[in-house]
Amino acid sequence: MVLNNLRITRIAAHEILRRNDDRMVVEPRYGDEVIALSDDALDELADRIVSALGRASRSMDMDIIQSGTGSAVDLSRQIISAPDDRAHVEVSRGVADKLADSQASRAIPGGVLVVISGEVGYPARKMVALIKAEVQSGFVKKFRDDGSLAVEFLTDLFLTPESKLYKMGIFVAPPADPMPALPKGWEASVYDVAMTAGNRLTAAQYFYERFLGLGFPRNAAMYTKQFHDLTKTYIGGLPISEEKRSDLHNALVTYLKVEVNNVIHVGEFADLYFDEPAAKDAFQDYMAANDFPLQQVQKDLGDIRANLRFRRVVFPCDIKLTAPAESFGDMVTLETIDGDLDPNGQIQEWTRITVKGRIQAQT
Amino acid sequence: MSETQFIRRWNHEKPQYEAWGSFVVARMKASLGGRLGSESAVEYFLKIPVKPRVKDTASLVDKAFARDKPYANPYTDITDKVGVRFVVLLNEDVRLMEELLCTNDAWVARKDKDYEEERESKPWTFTYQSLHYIVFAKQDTDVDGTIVRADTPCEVQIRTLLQHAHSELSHPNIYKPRVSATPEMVRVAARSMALVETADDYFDQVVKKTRENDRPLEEAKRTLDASYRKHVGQEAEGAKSNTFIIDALLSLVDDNLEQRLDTLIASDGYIIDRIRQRSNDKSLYRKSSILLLYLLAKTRPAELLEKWPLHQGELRPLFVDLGVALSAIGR
Repeated sequence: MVLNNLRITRIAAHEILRRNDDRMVVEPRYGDEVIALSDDALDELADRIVSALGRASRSMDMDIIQSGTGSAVDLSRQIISAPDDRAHVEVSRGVADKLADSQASRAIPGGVLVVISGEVGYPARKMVALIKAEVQSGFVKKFRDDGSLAVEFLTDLFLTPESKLYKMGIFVAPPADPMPALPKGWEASVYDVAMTAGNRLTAAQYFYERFLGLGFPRNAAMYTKQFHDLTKTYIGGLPISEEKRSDLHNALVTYLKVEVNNVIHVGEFADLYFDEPAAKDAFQDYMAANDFPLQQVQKDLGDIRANLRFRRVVFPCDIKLTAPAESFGDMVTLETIDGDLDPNGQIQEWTRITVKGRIQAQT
Repeated sequence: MSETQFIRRWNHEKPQYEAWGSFVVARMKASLGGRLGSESAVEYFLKIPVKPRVKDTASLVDKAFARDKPYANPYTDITDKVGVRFVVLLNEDVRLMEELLCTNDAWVARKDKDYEEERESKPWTFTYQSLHYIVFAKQDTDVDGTIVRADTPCEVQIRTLLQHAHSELSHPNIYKPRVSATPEMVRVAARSMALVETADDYFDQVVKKTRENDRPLEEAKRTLDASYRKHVGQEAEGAKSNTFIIDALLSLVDDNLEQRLDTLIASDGYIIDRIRQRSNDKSLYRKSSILLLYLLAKTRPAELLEKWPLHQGELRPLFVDLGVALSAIGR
């Protein structure tokens, strides 16, 4: 999602409590007024939002599934059309109720819900950001009247840069006026660290699905294939040694097939497998230029399982080397070596192949 | 004209000459300031404070009557009754002063002595070098209440700092006929002049090479300054730190900087508002390099973070403005 030119207009906050022992919803502790922040604090808040949801972040664009009355997108629509601060706070209480209601398990901790309205994009579009921030403890330094240092322990810090402790959703309204019927033209994106690791997906469900009414886009398999194909083409065209190229092809297989993440993230791939900052930028540029999202996308190997099964290397005279993709990196080494002179007196490039193992059969 | 008449006229007109000398200095400094951009640049450019000097009566009379080459009209023929000397660092600076002198419409400038022309006509001689002009008032000119008559002359000498050093050493001893110079004296003076000319040549080369080396930096700075002026609507601050930042990021600047900046501002015009807002209390936003930072944050973020010479926190607001998650890049 494009999150440039972010401007924050109104902020409200409410405390969401863990369900009680009978697993009944505990009514949130509501804030009464919009929160006024200094410019520095607003900058910091904008920083949190962009770090979580901006370009190259670990957020995911989602499909809006629930858009009926009282859904998160419906409440967001009411918030952006709030005529005054009072109305903003009023509607945001409904959002707090919805989050409290969505936290169906006692295992889910409480936290502070921050409801932010504002604008984003150029030209600007209205947006609502919903942050659930868990509290943490920490220390602050203070100076006594005599100038000596004192340390105070705080137990209610929230929205520190520790991003594991917050989840965030954003709804961006369509530019059209009057707005079409929900959810047409609306865009939604979610940041939740629990969505990245495959085995914890259920832990994230209450937030993105029950609370925000969002679902994973149904094009995961298509994106995964696109990522694979684009990256393969990119690696094929890089002006690098064949050894390095082979390493990158192996890396692509590893990233898609072996990594336990259930998401694909262009920046993560660049960080893991390209060394130079210029190479990282170039790869991300290439993917962006080919309209591949720089945010996370869900991984679905359905359409490329066959492509990932074998790695093939082709030489002149129809000589081919084929190996299971997963073991290629461990078992096979390719090296470029100097060969004999060609008829023009130039040194030819030859390849030395090392396979860690005996020949088992020949035909 | 008798000596007495001569002295009487001189005493009468002396204030006119003093005024004319001051006028020439003031005018030259003003046009130099126009060229260099500031008064402090002028002070730096002129290596020795410029003061008009009116000849004292005794030496003037000496020159008019006691010399072996008699003047037909000593009073008018002696054109250095008042003199002004500009001392600058380089040969090219001498030529800049000459250009300013010759294009001023308050006077008519007549060349009296040109060391480069003399080098060509007497290539085997190494002698006193300086550029001399006589400037004559074009019309009656009111200088702070003193009327300077048309055609009042003033001698203007322009020379390099090294030429000046040489003339300080040799001029009174060799070119004024009080002491007759021995061949050894003349020879040593000629040798030192040859050295001065050589050193001036080297100075020129140093400046030329520095300029060549600085060209990409200067070009980037000029482009950024112009773009800042055009888009932000005010002059960027010409601080040293601006050059420092551009220099650190120069390897990331390509030929199409101007066009890239225009494209950036077409797609992300809000950054101009952000620059204006923050420029009140953050100096980074008053420098033209801020535009380069936005451009690189958008197009080459990882490289920007690698090359950025200051604290990374300074860049955070830019990334936030552009909607780019800095934490995802700055690993």
